[in-house]
Amino acid sequence: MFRFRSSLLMECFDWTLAIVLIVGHWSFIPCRGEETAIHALLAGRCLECHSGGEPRGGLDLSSRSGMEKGSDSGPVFEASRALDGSLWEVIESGQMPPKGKLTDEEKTQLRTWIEKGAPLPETPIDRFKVTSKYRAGYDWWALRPLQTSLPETLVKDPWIRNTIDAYVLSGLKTRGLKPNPPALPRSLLRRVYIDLIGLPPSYEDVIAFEADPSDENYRAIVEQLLASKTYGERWARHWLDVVRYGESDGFERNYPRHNSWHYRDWVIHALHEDLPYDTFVRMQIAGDVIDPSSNGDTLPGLSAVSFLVSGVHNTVVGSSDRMKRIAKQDELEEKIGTLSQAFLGLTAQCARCHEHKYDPISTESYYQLAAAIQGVDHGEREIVQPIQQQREHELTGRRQALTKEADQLDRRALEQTTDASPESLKASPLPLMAWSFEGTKESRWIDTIRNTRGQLHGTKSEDPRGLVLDGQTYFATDPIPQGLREKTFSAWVTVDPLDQSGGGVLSVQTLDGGVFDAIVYGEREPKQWMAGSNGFARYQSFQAPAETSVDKPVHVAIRYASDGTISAFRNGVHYGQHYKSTLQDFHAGQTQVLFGLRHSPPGGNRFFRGIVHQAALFNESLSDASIAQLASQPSRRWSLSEAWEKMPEADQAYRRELRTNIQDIDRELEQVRAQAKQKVYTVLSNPQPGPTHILIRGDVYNEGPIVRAGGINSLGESKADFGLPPDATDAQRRSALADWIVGVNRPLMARVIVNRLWHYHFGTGIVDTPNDFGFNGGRPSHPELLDALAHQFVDGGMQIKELHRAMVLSSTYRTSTAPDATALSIDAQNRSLWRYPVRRLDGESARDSMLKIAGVLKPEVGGPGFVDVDFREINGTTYYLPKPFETEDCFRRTIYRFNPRCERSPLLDVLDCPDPSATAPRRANTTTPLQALSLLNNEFVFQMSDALVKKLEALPNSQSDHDNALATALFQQVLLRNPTAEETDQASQLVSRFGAAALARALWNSNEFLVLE
Amino acid sequence: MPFEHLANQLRRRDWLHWAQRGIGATAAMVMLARDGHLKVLGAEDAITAKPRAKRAIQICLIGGLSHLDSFDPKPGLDALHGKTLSTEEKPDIFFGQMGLLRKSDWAFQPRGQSGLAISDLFPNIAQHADLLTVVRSMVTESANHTPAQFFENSGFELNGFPSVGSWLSYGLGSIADDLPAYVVLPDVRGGPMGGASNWNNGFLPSQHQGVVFHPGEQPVRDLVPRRSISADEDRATREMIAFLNRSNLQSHGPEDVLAARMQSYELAAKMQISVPEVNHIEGETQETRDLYGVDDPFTADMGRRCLLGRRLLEKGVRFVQLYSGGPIAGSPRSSWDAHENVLENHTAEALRIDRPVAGLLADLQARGMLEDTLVLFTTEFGRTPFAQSEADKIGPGRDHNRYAFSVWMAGAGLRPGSAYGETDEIGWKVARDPVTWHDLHATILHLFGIDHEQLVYYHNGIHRRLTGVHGEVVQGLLV
Repeated sequence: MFRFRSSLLMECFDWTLAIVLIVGHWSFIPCRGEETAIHALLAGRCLECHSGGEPRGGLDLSSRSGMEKGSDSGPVFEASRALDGSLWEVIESGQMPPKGKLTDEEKTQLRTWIEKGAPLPETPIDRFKVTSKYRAGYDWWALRPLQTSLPETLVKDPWIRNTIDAYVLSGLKTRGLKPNPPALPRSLLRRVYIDLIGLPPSYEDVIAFEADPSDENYRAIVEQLLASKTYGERWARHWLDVVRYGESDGFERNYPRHNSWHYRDWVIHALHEDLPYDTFVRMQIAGDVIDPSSNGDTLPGLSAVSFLVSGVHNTVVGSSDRMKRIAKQDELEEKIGTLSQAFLGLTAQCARCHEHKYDPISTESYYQLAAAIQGVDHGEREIVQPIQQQREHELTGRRQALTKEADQLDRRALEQTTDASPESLKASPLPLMAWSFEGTKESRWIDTIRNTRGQLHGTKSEDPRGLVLDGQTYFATDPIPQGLREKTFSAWVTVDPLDQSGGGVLSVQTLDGGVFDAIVYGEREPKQWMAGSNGFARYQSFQAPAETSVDKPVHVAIRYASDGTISAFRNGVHYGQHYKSTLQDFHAGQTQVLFGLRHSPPGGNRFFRGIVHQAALFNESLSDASIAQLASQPSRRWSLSEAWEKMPEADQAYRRELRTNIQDIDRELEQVRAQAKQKVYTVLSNPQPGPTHILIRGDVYNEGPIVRAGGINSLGESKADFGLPPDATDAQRRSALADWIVGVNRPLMARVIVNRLWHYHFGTGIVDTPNDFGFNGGRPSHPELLDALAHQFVDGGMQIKELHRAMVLSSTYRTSTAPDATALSIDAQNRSLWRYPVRRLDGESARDSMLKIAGVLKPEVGGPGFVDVDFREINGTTYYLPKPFETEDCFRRTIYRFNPRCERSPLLDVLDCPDPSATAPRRANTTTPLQALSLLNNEFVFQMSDALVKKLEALPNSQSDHDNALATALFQQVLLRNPTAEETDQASQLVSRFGAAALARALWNSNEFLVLE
Repeated sequence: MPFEHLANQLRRRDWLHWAQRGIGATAAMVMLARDGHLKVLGAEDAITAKPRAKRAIQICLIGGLSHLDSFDPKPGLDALHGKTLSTEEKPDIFFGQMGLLRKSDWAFQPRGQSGLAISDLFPNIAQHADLLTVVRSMVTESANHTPAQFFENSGFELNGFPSVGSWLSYGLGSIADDLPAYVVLPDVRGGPMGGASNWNNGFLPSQHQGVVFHPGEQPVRDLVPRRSISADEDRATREMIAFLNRSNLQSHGPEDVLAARMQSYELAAKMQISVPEVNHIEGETQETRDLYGVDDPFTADMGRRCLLGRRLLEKGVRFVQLYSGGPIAGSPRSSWDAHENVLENHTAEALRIDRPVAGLLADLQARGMLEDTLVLFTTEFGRTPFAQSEADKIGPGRDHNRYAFSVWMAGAGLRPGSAYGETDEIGWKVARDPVTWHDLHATILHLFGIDHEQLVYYHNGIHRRLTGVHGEVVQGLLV
């Protein structure tokens, strides 16, 4: 009747025919003899201090020779007068152990042992050997092989759909419980949608499922959800919690990491593709070394291994040797802690200063792990994508040709319509933008080539000589629609006074002022011109003479050539020495031009004093001759728009077309360039990390023996030794570590990930401490089930999606949340899973659901995150201030939020989204007045209310009672059901008095929306 | 109505944690206890001593106050002014420059009945010398601002650990149900380095984080909508929410999560009244305003915050934290980080806080609040007795000193008008009775009647404590 396959594979047999089992004996502490018991007692209560290299008081109680040697103050025990010695004396008096008194039973046990002559073995007792009531040993349940013993007795029950149900039902039966009835189709559908993709179904989806709530249909929906892109976005968020993924350094500087999102995208992609879990793990430890497609660096490899550096990073460590050493060790501990908890559910970081107090992890093991990742440093690497680079090349070529043609047309227009000499026009190319600030017409604030406008900040002068800058005034253009690479700045300027420092004449900057190139006066060397840039990144001295007079305007030009050479010109001739630097990209729409301010924000010594008469910006590097030409004509004016007005319409149309084509190319170029060369925040590998010492008691100046890269000794017997020499390369060490984790520890690794999935699906893990499977962690509520699932998982090729299927297709998952007085009295915590737990939506699901329902969720996948904070850099420290409200570009899924440390958005904060300073294996789930306030009053909630109402009003509405119809539609959209008669009544009253948005706001705040049934 | 009954029952059962005793309520959430392996504490387990303090206010001096120029008189240093500190040691300071020894820039006087010596840097605070318990033998682990400041707050040098205020909130909850247990009032010049990491809840549930009160219309984030909504619409919307939640509860059946959410909206409404009320200092008398220096431009920022701090304590807030000093670097400094010039820097910084802090002490005493209120005046480390300059110069600045510094406390259960511990002749290192932050934290918890070894929270494999695995109550500070 019943076929049981060795693999226990989920779909292999028909569970409804058969089942279930009386749960087998699951013991945590194996039986042992008297000798083992006394060893366990000594190990648990005495040997922490009285063993090892430097035992406390000189007394080593771990071996016979140690005992015979006695303590620093003499013998502690004489066989002839056993109970007279100080050994028994300190125990009897309660002096030892100093903390946590012995029980009477333990004292008796020790007394008996001492009376028998306190026998001890020759070789020191291994404190980790056996599990006791004090600590875990090598035989700890989580470290044992998977239990694959088969269920002993089978019970037939139609409720059982798969393995999970079999074990859960047997657990329920032993407690005299029975499972809740199935959830309503509407609840189940919402549950599985939120659970798998973090977004709710639509009302139409609910109607369709209510019409056909069959098992078949449910399975089809589950498949569809698992296959959707949004599945990866949902489940990557869970993993990002575990790996403490943040996008700034933390600590004092808290510098933003603009290029760390590749890791987030990689996780989304890996989960979506259902990358086998062991590959998923290996990639994150050594992706840059082992990526199979590796031919040099690959984007997936570099992105994945960013796991190791996605935690905090202290960039200010002080000058003392001690502080530097401590910072390095703290960094290693942070990484070891995260990787051992994330992959193995072990808190290896606790063994940095002493052997783990509860789990069999030695200090030696800790430093073996430290040796394995010693070569990991934080930083950015650049990766070149050949295909995109090729495309960039093509586009650049086409752009050049089109630009040349367009410029020729422009030049012809100028020639035909102005009185400038043809020679001068030929010699000087057309600028991208040009300004003539002379005169008093308002048009002087508009660039003469492309009509870009700008804003004068500060004092407006009517001086006809030009833009008068008084040290508090500057002029800033709107964002310019073109990107810039190579470029030339040209300006006619009067410096006044001569003695001033740091002001900018003409700057091109990103809108926040973080990146800029500028003509700067006197900042580094008195009265000299320089090419200013952010943090002096592209600065070198031109080594040129100082200005000597304020009498006459001078022409200053700086040229940024494609090879990175920066040259300056004064009055048309070379100004000092040019030098080689790098070329900075400025992106279309994110760049502006400033006059009179070195860069934003205004303040400090960044203001220039004097007059800017005329200026021009070229998006090419001009020839020496062209620059000389510019300098020779003090009243040079371009007015292309005037010129073109005089040209025939056909020519104008052709020119417009050309310009449109160029703009299209620019747009594509922008994207292609971003892909062609990508910066990735990831591991900077120090190829030869050198030897690693054990640090005695964690003291950075107390170096013990050298250890080689390795794993945790207690797992997988002797294989924790990677067989590498002490001077192995970083690549060797990390690939060996990756292999060790996925190889030697498959059972533990499988248990840990199975439990994580269970935790997210059922609210609480089978082990309720998902990062800690050690002695201090929780004990499994369903140990055989955990092992059975882990076994299936390993056998089935470690496919995460298979685990999802097993869980969400189970009957256990499909039960209702209804409270039941009897069941509550027996198991209020629901550890036996008699019902599906009632849970509040997590912050991301709440926000994403609102965006989706309101119809404004942007579908963009991946790439740099949206930014809902303002950056403020004060003296090198970056602060992130939540913006007063979210702009529309923020309406993406919350996982794409730029996620700096320290500052969370108010709404996500009160909904328990964790600060990414440490791994967060489970989130708090709080209910506070501040949460209520944010959900009521945060501007986002109002925005979503407005958007939803706008969406509904756009729909055709045939009903005569508009308020009623709107109220009904809102219930359908937000709560996925029709209102009751009483609800309709109340809701339409609210709508008629205050509008539909008020009702939407109420619905977002309702328990039915925020709590998952 | 059966649901009102349920809500009342929940109120008794401490569902809304912050409003009531923290641990007892949180225990329901921790839910870790299995097989007796995890400690889940009721407040009564951790509360072992008779509490002397009910509330505390902490003034954190950002940057490192020079103990040599304030609370630790060193005549020995005066005598050695201009001499070289002969040492083989490479001290753990920040910039690494060791100039010649430099005497204090201020004169010290014995003050009050107790004769406690305090320098002229703080003339107003000095008038209350008889209330102060100075610790002159503080030591810390790091000579680097951010780790040292995290350590001062949380007992750990890293981000992600809860600070004293969060632990007190967790252990004791708030006295009032309409104000948070832990309120933070940053310097108007900006938050300290590390920003919200200094007061965030770390691994404790989020209701234990410090809530920043901002000046202006919206003292607490999202207290009122950003857009204007008529009071009628707001009320009607809330009634709609309550109505929806009642019918939902009715159809679902009794459920703690649902009932707790309903109650949170009632408390939110109370907060909307009590927060503006407590924030409105305009009702205070001119005498009080003068006491704190609210109307003097130099002391207005700290004066206002000290006064607000007193009001918050009065209304039942458990822990108020004030910062003196903003971001650390830059010129001129906006903190106590006097690398360049102690005289200039400390004069300017002390001017901002001396009168307000003295006013706070006087006001608390006059109102009888000092009996059960703890005042803490702390800084992350001290400054070096030698100048920060070339080896043959007596430069005007001092570098960081983690080997010795001073803090003071006042109020509930402390020995007033006394100094504890001693530094060496020149104030470079502690010579007697060193006190670590863990010791000080243990002592603070003790004053609140909490055994620091019993106040634990399980996180990632460890029963975390404010005091790590260290800390001894400093009996010498207590009455």
